[in-house]
Order: sequence, then structure tokens, then C-alpha cells
Amino acid sequence: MIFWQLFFTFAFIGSLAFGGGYVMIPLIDSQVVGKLGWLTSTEFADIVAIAEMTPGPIAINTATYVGFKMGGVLGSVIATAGVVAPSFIIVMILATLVKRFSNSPYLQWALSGIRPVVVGLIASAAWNFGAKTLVDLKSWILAGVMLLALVKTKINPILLILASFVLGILFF
Amino acid sequence: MVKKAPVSNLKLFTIFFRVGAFTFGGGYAMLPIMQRELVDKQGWLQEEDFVDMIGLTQSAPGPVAVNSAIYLGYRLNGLGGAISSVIGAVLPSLLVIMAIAWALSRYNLDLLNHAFAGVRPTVVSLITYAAWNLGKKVVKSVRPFAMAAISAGLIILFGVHPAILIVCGALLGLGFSSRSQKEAAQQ
Repeated sequence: MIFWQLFFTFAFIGSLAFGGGYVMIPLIDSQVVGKLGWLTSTEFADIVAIAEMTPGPIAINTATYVGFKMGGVLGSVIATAGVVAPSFIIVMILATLVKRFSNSPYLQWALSGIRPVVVGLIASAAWNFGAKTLVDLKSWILAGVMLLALVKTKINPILLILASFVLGILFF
Repeated sequence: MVKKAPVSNLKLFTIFFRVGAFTFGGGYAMLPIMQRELVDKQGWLQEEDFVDMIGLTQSAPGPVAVNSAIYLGYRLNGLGGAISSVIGAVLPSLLVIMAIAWALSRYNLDLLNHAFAGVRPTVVSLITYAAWNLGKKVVKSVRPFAMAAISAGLIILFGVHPAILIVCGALLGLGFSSRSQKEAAQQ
């Protein structure tokens, strides 16, 4: 049954998706292109490009696309549910544990060490994405102006993204 | 302090739908959007809850936006909250990818390429802002600053996996705190 296969293939991919994003590309490639032949290499490269342009995590986008190709709208929904299922279970267990032990000093101590690491993690994401993206003067200016707007005003970030679409069409 | 609005599954769904629809460039760019909705507007969470949520959910498999939706949805409104939030977060990708799969066969999407080229620099700003904003809350002395800087350096220079750093951070936190407890007890 293709629907079962879609669900379990993407659940397998989802359960190994630590750190998200680009870590997963080789994993999806080996399963979906190599092992099962659901996509050609060219199709997969296209999906990676589309996933970079569109909202949403790459694992979700790939699951949706492959599911759609193999089983229409229902296939799409099933593959996406499959990729999310492991996260759902594990994060729920984590959330339950945190709730239960929220008064434990050990949890608070561990969190006090995790918090600075998280800041470093996000900073490194900004750095890595910037190194790929800020390639010329106009992209630096755009990023600078947007950062200033975020820090200095209470403007909705969604409006800034929409403004960037328009600026992209006009200047990029 | 913002007045707390009542939590509803429909509200969670629409908030995370917006988050999912504007999550470009992988995960962290959506943090300012989520913070605006959940901290500033609804007053359901504080900034510290955010930092903890990221630390915990990044040690589980799955994309940042999806894990955040599940974790926060569950904390705010139980199982129903988790389900409403995750459907909200995933639905925009689902619709957009289906639409693109359909449109690619019919239209030239050159205009779209230009539009997305404009969004990428803004994504850098969004992530930088998230780091800055959460950093202000967390990095208040030399030790957390050093930990943040070393973590960022290890990822940028050596590609160290975030989950490993989170576990190390937890162990360091336990070590430092239990030592200062002992010292306090001795005095």
C-alpha cells in the first residue's frame, strides 16, 4: 500500500531529523531518491531549491511534494503527517517531563546552562545564513535597514517580509 | 506586563498558521514573529519561556517551527493545543508546495525568484534580531557570554551538532550551579 509506505518512510526520516534543515538533505536523498526511486536526482534538487524559496521546513516540503506526486492530495497529507509524527511524540514527552519537574532545582540548573548555548546557536544561524546571503552592497543595506526597523520599532515582522518581496522584485 | 488573553485552540491555529506562512530560511527567522504574537500581543509567555523552549525542542528531532508549535501548543492548551498549533504551522507549506507543483508546469516563475532574493537579507536580520533579543535576557555576565560565543564558534567553524552543545550546556549548568550551592552551604 503506497499510503502506508509514504507514512512510514517519512516517519523514519522525521525521527532522524535532529537539528532540522540542511542536516536532513542527505538522509532524504538516500531514502527517497536512492532506495525507493520516488524522485529523480533532478527533481530532488528542484525541491531543495523550492524549499529554500518558500516558507516551511525542507522535510515538510519534500514530504508534501513526494506525497502529492505518489498519491495526490491524500498522499501529501499522509506523508506530511508521517514526517511530523516522531517530533510530535518526542516533544510531547519532553513538555510533559518539563511540566512535571518544573520545580526541580536540577532542571533549573540544566536550563541555566542551556540558555546561553541557545543564544549561540541562533547567532551561528544568523552568521551562516548571512555568509550565504549577504553577497553584495544592496543585500547588506537591505539587511541593515531591516535590522534597524526590528530593533527600533514595534513593526510587525510579517510586514517587513512583505516589503522585502516588493523590494526584491524592484531591485534584485 | 501585557494582560493575558484567554487561550483558545482556534487562536493557536491562526497564530501558528501565520508563523508557518512566513518561516523562510529555516526555523529561527520565525522567532520574532512568534514572540510578537505570543509574548507581546497575547501575553501567554515570557521571553525566558522562549529560550527554554528552543533549548529543549532542539534536542528532539524535527524542524524548529514544528517543534515549537507542538511544545508551546501543548504547554498552553494541552493535547488539543498541540494538535491545533502543529496543523497551523504545517498547513501553509502544504498549500504552497501543492500550488507550486501545479503552477510550475504552467507559468514562468521568474518574478517569484526576484521576490525571494529580496526576502533572504531580511531573513538574516530576523535571525540576528532573535539572537540579540533573547541574548539580552540571558547573557548578563561573563560566563553565559563565553558559553554563547563558544557555542556559536563551534558551530560556525567546525559544524558541531546543536544537540551535542545543548547537552554540554545542560551538564555545565548542573556543574556550575551545584558548585555554587555547595559554596553557599559552607558559608
